[in-house]
Amino acid sequence: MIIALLLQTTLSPIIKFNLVHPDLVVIVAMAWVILRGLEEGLMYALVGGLSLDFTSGAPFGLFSFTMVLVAVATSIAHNRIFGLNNKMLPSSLILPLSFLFNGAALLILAILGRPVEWDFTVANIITPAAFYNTAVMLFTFPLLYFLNRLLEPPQPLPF
Amino acid sequence: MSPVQAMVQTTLVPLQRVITTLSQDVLHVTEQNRDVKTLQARVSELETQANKLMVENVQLREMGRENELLRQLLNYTKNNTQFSYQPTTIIGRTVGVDPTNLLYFVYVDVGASDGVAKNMPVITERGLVGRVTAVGPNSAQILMLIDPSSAVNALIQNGRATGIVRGNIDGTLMMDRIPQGETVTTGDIVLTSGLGGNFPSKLVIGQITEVLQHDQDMFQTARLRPSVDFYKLEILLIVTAFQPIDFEKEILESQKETGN
Repeated sequence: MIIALLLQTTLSPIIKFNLVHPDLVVIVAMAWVILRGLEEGLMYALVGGLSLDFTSGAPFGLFSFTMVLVAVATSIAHNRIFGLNNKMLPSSLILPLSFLFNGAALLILAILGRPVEWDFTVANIITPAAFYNTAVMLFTFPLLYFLNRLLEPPQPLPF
Repeated sequence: MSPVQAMVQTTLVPLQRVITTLSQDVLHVTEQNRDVKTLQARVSELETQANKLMVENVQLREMGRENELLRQLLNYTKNNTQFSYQPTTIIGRTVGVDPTNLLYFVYVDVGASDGVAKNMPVITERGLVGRVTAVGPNSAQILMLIDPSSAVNALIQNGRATGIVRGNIDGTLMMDRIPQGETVTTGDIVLTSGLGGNFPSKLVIGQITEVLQHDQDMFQTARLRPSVDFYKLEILLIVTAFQPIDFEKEILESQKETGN
């Protein structure tokens, strides 16, 4: 999570493509919820959210809240749509959940009085970011999948 | 040579030839190997040297660039002696950028211990960057001009028309509240007006690229190209001598005093 944050804060100007860069912290937290379940994933989401709060100029707590929201939504969607045993396909949830993450953050910022151009931001920031996150997830998820296998090898069958 | 000796020699010669040939081959191969090893060692030595030179070259180029930037800043400070400056560098080139896609903040490696305070204006030799919004002991957070929550009182250099420059999420600037009737043309330079007391006057903000004028509106609006490249900020100047005026606070204080 810390590596993802460091990459996001250091590489964002380099990997920025037409105003947007991928939300690596969200990608990692979401992948971890899919791979390790809500309980552990939620902790990583909270750590990721807090670290975003500490390194961002946004009101404190905004990203902790949105990250927890994304973690919970990931877990529910994973369970209801794909079933808990399916580990690869749920990574596609990054597309709608990126909208949720950035949309919720923008909504809270607007409620707190920040001027928001909804049309432009959704069309030129939130939507491209969702697709960028999906593309990055395609490469990141298999890596995290194998990392998870290394950390916790599959249990032998009982027969 | 006796017949026995001759017979032995005859038998041995082919063997000797074979052995000699083999040994010569082995020797040859060994020598070749030695040559290859020497060459390999030489190649790796040259590679190391080339890498070292490349790194030195990159370092020299970076130093040259930094030198050029500092020269420009020095010229700027010499030509604008009314302020005192606290030079600062952004922590690295990319570290210290806001991690989200929705906000435009940068972080610099100087803070309260260097005399930086909240609301101090931040500039480069090209113009206004923004203002300090939060200060830590050794770091400061800067709200960039292009952030949608940023607003600066400005004036157009040629026509002296005033307005407010606001940031746009697309990284451009918009100047609104320009009174109708004022002549605004593309290419005009926009400066800080100093009104409001948040920024010193005459700092360059940008250049007008498009004028949006509708007769039914109360004000005109203009799109600006910022003079500063906000995506390539390296060395910034924090104007430490300028004291921003907090009107609201002063009014409240004066009201309190009047009340007492």
